[in-house]
Amino acid sequence: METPTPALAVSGLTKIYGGRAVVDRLSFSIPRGSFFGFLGPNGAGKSTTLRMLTGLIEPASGEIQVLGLRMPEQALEIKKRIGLVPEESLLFDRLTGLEFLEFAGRMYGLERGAAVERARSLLDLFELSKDSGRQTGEYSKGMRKRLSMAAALIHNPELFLLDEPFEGVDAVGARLMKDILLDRVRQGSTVFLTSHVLEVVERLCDRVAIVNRGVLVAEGSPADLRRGEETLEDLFVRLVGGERAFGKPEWL
Amino acid sequence: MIRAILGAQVRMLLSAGGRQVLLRALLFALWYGLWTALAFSLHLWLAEMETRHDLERGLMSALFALLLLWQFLPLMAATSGSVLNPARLLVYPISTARLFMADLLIRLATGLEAPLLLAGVFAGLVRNSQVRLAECAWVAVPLLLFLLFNLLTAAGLRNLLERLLTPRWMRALVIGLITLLAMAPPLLALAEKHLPGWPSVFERISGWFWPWTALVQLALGPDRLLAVAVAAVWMALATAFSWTQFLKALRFEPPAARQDAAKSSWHLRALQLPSLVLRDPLAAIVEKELRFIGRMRRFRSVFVMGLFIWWPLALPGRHGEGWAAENGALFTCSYVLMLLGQVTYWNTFGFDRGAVQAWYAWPVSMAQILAGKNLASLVYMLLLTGIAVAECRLLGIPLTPGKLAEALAFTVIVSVNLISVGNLVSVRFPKPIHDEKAGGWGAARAQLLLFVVYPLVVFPLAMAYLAREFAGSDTLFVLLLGFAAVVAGVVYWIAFQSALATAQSRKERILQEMTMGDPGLVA
Repeated sequence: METPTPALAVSGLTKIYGGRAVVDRLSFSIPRGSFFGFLGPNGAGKSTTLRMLTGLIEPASGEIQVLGLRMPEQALEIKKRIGLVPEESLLFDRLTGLEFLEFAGRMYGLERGAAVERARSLLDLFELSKDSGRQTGEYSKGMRKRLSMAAALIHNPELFLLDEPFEGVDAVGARLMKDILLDRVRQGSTVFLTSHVLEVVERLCDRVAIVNRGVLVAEGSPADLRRGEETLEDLFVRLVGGERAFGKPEWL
Repeated sequence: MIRAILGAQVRMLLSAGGRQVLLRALLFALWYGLWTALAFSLHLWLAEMETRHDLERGLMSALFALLLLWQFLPLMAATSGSVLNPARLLVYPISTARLFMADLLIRLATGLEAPLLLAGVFAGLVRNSQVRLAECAWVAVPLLLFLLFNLLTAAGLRNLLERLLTPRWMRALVIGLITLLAMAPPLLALAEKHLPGWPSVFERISGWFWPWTALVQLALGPDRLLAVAVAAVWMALATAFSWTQFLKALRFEPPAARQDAAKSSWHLRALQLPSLVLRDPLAAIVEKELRFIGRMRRFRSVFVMGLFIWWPLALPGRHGEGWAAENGALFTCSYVLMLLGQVTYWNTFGFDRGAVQAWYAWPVSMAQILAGKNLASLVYMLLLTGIAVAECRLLGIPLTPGKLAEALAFTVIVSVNLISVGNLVSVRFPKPIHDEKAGGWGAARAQLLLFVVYPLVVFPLAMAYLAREFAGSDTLFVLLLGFAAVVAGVVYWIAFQSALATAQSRKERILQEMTMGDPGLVA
């Protein structure tokens, strides 16, 4: 029987800014149907990696395969099949929530009627219906994240690429988003997620990768990576060197 | 503390243009060079006044015009959403009085145009032989008072407007009124020239109770005592007004945003018109752009201004004869197209800001995106020029069917040329436009650059007009107009392809520029 291609496979992925490798020969593979957590301290290269995976920026070297297709050669085909929630907002702030979702749907090839219908049901799902007529520029950060997530779902993608999707979202909203993502994974979709909230990653992800200064320092299931009673946070701190003592200024 | 705030503001202004240091320096030099040249002309004009009476009248007119400029420029900035947000500084241990001082000083530091002209006025007075040597130092006092008066009133007016203009529709309405108000002097001058018995503008502004009259009297005499009393009253009123408005601005909480959902059906149907002739995704992009741009405060302000601001230029055509009078509609279209530049074609990704990454992340080609944006720009350009031409007809400016057709051809060809240049500029020098935040003088620089580009863009059409003027042949004119249209089409295609290639090769730079963060003290 033929092995299905991984949802995401990168090999030797490198990005250089100002002569410094911010992503350094990164290689990993994510099987389809996984919930994959991509962790690292600030400036580790997580968002840069995610932007390379979505074709927003070009790698200096290395190969990217998304759903068996090569990026950037088959970028258009890949974009049709992924749902993206980037760190910075994708929202056009003078469109209302409903207009934005309808527009996003039409950009993914849906007919106007179908896009409107899906937009309404997504607004219901994310509890944004009463704000659907407000311009997105007037939304709170949490509402904007929820709307971005709704836009990422509108074309029912096979792979989700999410950069800090729960940042600024209240507990109820975050729970809703997690439940939806878990449901999508159960239905066969794949989720690639970056987050600073280690408890969330520990609870949701069946596989994690930890990067530090652009280099992959660990990859596997959380259970396999932890030592004894260690939590994911302990593991993270141990791997990225956060236990070192800090030099306190005299006046502090 | 005030020095720190000012330093932060100045550093922010200096770094606003990103890394294009040479371009910034060039535009800075061009912009302030223009104002310096104006100040120099003002100085020459005042220096050459031959009698004391002429000098008084000249100074009064200069101060009145300066006051209008001083109040008009900040008002324009306020209606486009630009204002220092002193509330942000309340978290620091600084007294309200000092914050007020900082507010005034920042307004001075960020708007040097009017003080430059005032310096020209001072130089003109000092060089005028009617002003005695002993008076030279003294005339600086009323001019400094004039500067302070304007700073106070401009700051107060802006704070007041910022509160009043919270509803979006109100901004467009007020901008229309301000434009009409600013046009009052040239329109009154026109009326004075063409309507018998109409009182002169000067008569209307030379009453003893006006602040500019009092300050002229204070500078040149003879009624200095009365002038001191009047000036003191005006200064006290300006200070009280500015201070109370500042306190209200500190405490101001904008009301909750309203829903936009309830729109009339004709409005929705009009926005869906692109779908009748185009297919998705192009139709969706045009529709989105029409909706999106049309809701921008800055766009609305410019659009409303475009309805009136050309009146003083075009109205003389109503009474005149010859080429200029016959082509009033042409001048109007030309002006209106320039006006729309910054809010449509000149920086076509500007309003998208961070959302520009959607264009790269979604499965649509850049060719479709750019074409959709161009079509939306063209719709707005044709709409505004169409309204302007209809106004010309209503105002009685001569407009034959032939001239109307010419104006239409001119508008389409120039629009296509401007959009071609706009496409190249948009991908090469993308800048995020914060609708709610300061346009700063970056916006003015963009307009200045447009003034440089515009002669090149209309050059092929100018050739056609010149040929008709000198050869007297309409056939030659039509042939050259056709040629200009073909050239515009070819230039558009080449510029479009080049812009597509640049949008791809400079993708990272564009994304980086457009997702630039917080502007700091200005909010």
